[in-house]
Amino acid sequence: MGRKNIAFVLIFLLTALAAFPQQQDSALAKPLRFSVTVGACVTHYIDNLDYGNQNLGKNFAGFSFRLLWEPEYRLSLGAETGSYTMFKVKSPPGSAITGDITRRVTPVFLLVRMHIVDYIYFSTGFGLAFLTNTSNHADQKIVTNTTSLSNYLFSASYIYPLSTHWQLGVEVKVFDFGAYNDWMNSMQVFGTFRF
Amino acid sequence: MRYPILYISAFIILAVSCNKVEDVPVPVAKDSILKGTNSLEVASKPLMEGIYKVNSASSVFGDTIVVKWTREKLSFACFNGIYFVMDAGSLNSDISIEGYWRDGYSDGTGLCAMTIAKAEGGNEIVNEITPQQIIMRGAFGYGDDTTDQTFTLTYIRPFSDKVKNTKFNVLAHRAGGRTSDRLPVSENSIEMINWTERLGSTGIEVDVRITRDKVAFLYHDADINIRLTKKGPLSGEIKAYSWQELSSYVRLIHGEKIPTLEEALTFVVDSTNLDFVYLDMKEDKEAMAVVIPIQQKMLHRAHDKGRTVTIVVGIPSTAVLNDLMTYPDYQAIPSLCELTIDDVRTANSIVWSPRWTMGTQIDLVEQMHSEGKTAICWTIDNPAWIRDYLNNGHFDGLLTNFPSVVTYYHYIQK
Amino acid sequence: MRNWRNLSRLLLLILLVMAGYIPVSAQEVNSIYAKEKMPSLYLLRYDTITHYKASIGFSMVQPPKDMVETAIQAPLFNFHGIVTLPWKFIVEGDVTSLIVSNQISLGPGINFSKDNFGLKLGWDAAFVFGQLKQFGFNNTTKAWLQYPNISASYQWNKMIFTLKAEAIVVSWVETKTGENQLSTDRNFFNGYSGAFYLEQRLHKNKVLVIGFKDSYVKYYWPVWLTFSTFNRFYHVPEISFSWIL
Repeated sequence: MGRKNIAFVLIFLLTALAAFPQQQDSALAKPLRFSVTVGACVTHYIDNLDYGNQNLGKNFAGFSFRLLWEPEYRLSLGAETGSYTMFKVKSPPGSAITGDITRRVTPVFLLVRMHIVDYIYFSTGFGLAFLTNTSNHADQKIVTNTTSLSNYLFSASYIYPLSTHWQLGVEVKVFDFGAYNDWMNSMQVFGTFRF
Repeated sequence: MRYPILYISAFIILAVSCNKVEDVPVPVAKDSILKGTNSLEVASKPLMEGIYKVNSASSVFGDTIVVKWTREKLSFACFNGIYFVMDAGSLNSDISIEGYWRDGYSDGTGLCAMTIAKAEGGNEIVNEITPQQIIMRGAFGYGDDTTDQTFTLTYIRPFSDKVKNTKFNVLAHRAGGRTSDRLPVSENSIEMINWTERLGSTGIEVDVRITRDKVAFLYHDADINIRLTKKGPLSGEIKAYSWQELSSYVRLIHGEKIPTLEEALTFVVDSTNLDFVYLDMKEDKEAMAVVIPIQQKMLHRAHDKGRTVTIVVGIPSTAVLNDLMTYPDYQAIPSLCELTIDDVRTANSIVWSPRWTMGTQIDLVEQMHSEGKTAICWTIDNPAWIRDYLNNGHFDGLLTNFPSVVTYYHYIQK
Repeated sequence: MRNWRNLSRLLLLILLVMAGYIPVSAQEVNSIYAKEKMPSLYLLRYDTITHYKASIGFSMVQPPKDMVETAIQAPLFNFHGIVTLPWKFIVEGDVTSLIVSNQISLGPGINFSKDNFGLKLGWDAAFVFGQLKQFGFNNTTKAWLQYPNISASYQWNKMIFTLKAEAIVVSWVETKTGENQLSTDRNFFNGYSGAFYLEQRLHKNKVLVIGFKDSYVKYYWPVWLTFSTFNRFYHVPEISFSWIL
């Protein structure tokens, strides 16, 4: 259901934006450029655990790093990575073992970004994600790693140019990590340096 | 269409969420025709077994059906992967048969209810006399809907002497089938071991892994994943965890607990008629030292109960073979080898099990037979290939995700 | 889940407000390529002359989990070519490969275009070939598939949008294992696919084609090695990126 909600929100958003007066193309002709973006975010895990999700923590801080090639038209290509904590679950009171389990993710995405209108951009990406599970039980720490091979990213961002080289922005992202069907969204602020 | 990337994103989200695995619920009759009937006597049941002609609905179920008792259930097997799981009871020499059918290759399912009238074989069967004729008359339906499609079976002949006198192993993969087959129970579970004989299975293959604290359990994949388990907080390599952690945080896809190897084999020996268990060893480091004592204990248990059960340790790789060879007197351990026939000889395995994709390999199979070994190939699922291997191959058994198809093509032989 | 709904409603409200206040600043694109007709694989403006266009690229497909028993993306490498002929005829060809599975298709079509709108009707015949004789496999497969298709394109500003639909029929499948051969000489309706393509310039006059396709099929040729026996339709989503040469 969560995924369908996201899809309908996106479609409705699109329709709503299209209802405003048409805006003329404002893509600026610009020389070849690259950009580096660093962002800090708050993530929210969309809980779809079927089992063991009592005492589930879903909101954490994270960061991302993005490198883009921005040629003269609307599209930009690049790569993005980051580090996020998805969730932390503690064993419920009275259970046979006590401890906690944390799942973190480091995605590596190929990214396509499209300039929509002046300060609005949409992005989509796909790639790998490295999931790390840390289980602390009975004074023992177990760390397991999984590589997820089917992952997607969708985002919408508002980027305000401070100067020729510097930009500031906010971005909303939705992640889908296919290995365990994990969905996560994040809201981040970021700074971009263009060169 | 100003913002096409938004539409693309929406389509992607919808599409990637569209293949959610669906359960195929077992249909349940609202008004059972078995109410008030008596269970059939043990001696009556074999009189119903045999090959039946499908008089109506042959476009759905084929021209012939194999009917066979499997423990307390009456199973029908069709050529195309459709099978029936039925219960039977008698009242006033009429025999009522009720249950459901399921297409193993898709999600088609429905109810079925039939009767053997007193004058059409019911009376003889109840009185344990070989009947002159058997006609099952009834109907089937789709889903939970009423049975409104005419369905009639007429007895043709019993199983041939070739079938009765040949020991052929119908081995069920992962104890009965995979998650993707959408069975009502999870693969590699005790619930599946209890269920598998309804498909005609005479034996099972199960996957064995070892926890961090050296507990042997049944599980196929190397990692905890959402294909096999309800989504929980644990992930990664399953062997990294202790048995207590797995018991606390992991449930199989239909909610069952992961069984230990000892629990599973105890159930096979005590509660089923299965006579062959293939332990597919998924771990290769010091796993034999954990598994073989359990194997030996269960072989003794079966012997003490007067049961003939073959439990073989599987050798799927050279690493596992090397692990076996570190075990004292390893050549006396009953084993099944998937590698070359030279490796079969090295391990002194009693079964050679090549992959079906290598072909029927008749020469090599006959060579194994001449050395007193059994040959079983894995894992063969396409009905046409199953028919081909049964008719043209010389294997002593087939490992499959669709035991009812193997059952059909084996028992239909003349 | 309730918090997520609230968050999405808030997000929608914020973006709606922002959209209403975004200042309009129309500026001409001063790229020398902007005034040229954009190269396209789908909006073909060459109704009466012979013209050739080709692209190379790759797709990331997500095979059904029932078949591969895990969530993976598989890369399919692709070369696509199209030749427009006089009297609105076209010939279209495609080579797609996953190394162990390969498809070559070729077929005629008819193309109508006027101003910024184009319509294409075609029928492609495809030959699938796959082979693996290592790692415990001794198998080959061959198949013939038919893809009747229709696509409609529209250019708005400097972007071309295309919707394409095709039906998929499997005419014949042969699989060999060892010395045994199994042929299915039978036409069966295998499903259909719908795709959306967006073409726009990426750099200078090079056009990037971003596509999304969803195939709803039973037999999916890139994963023939799973020997899937399921008689079910599955969604197979695919994202593609191509560069028009």
